[in-house]
Amino acid sequence: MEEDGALLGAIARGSKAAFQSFYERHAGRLLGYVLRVTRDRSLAEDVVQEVFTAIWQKASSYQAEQGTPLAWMYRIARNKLVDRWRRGPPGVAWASEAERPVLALVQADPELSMSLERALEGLSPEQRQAVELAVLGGYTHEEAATELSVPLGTLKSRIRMALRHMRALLTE
Amino acid sequence: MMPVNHPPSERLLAYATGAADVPLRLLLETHLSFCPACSREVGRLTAPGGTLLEAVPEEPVPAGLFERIWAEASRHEPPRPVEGVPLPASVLAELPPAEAWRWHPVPGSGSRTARLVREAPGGCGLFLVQMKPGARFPRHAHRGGEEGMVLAGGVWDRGRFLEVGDWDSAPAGSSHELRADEKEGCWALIREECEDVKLTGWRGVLQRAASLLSH
Ligand SMILES: [Zn+2]
Repeated sequence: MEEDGALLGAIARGSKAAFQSFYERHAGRLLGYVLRVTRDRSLAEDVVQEVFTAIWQKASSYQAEQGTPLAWMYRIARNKLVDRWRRGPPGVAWASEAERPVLALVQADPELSMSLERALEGLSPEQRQAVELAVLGGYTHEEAATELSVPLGTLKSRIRMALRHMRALLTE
Repeated sequence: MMPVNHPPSERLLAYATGAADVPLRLLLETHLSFCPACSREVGRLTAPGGTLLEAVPEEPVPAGLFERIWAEASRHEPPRPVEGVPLPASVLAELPPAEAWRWHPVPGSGSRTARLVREAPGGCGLFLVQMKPGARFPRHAHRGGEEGMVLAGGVWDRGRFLEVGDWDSAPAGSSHELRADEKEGCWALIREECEDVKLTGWRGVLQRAASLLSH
């Protein structure tokens, strides 16, 4: 992964060869990820093109403190997907609103007296991770379960428990 | 010099997860370019994304995709820095070129503003503000919330002196006036929330909730 950092440095200095190496290392997995979100090959290829164009333009802003080059690329890709989603259909297929329990949570309690932040602090580390990824982070439940290396059922029950706990705190 | 005032952590979470709207994203990205502490926090929050990408099975890439990408990318040269305005390349790449910024003077105040980004109607905007040394930005009320940061120089706001990288926020309904540093003046980047922010979907709800909760 050190190699990725060095490649980004060279891209920032305008090296097409470094850009091509970075592409060859990561285009396949980026396409794999974007395809899973969009379920549309030509759209996914467009997004991959946008992401790499952004990498070319932004490489000089990459800072190691902000995570690995792959995490940085993930953030760029996620933003491109979100921007398309905001522009509305036809576009990216997202999990349904019903799968976003925070929506119900927030709508049920418009006058929340306690910050979400403090409510999150009251969770166990496992619950907090689950909520950060799947509820706040917009990961699908499957992605979050893969990420946390837990079975899907376990993830869902953690989220359920966490939301019950947060709701209790938020409506005290 | 490290910033002393930082965005609330739910803002960093919104940034890391893609829940932030474009003006907020660009504002946070600019703060990160000045702030190693918040950068590390964002790094922590986005680590799962990197791990996820590592784990995703690779998809065969069509022949010719790199050439297509290169044809597009090479037409977009990395943005040139703007004299005196230390915006990072990642932010400049999302903005119209500096020549196209339309400046509006604030009458009698030694200040001027330019809107850099506007979300869809009803959404919020990102503004650049330049104040000459010692300039006063007249008292103004906010119907929506305001968040911003100092890019260069310094400014007095509600009894606090804010310097490069410092984050500041003013809740909806509040009013304040600003006074720029006597020697250096001030450049600031500001996100203004309009009164009726109507973002759709759970992100909008979460965002409004986060801004409600943070005050
Ligand atoms: Zn900070």
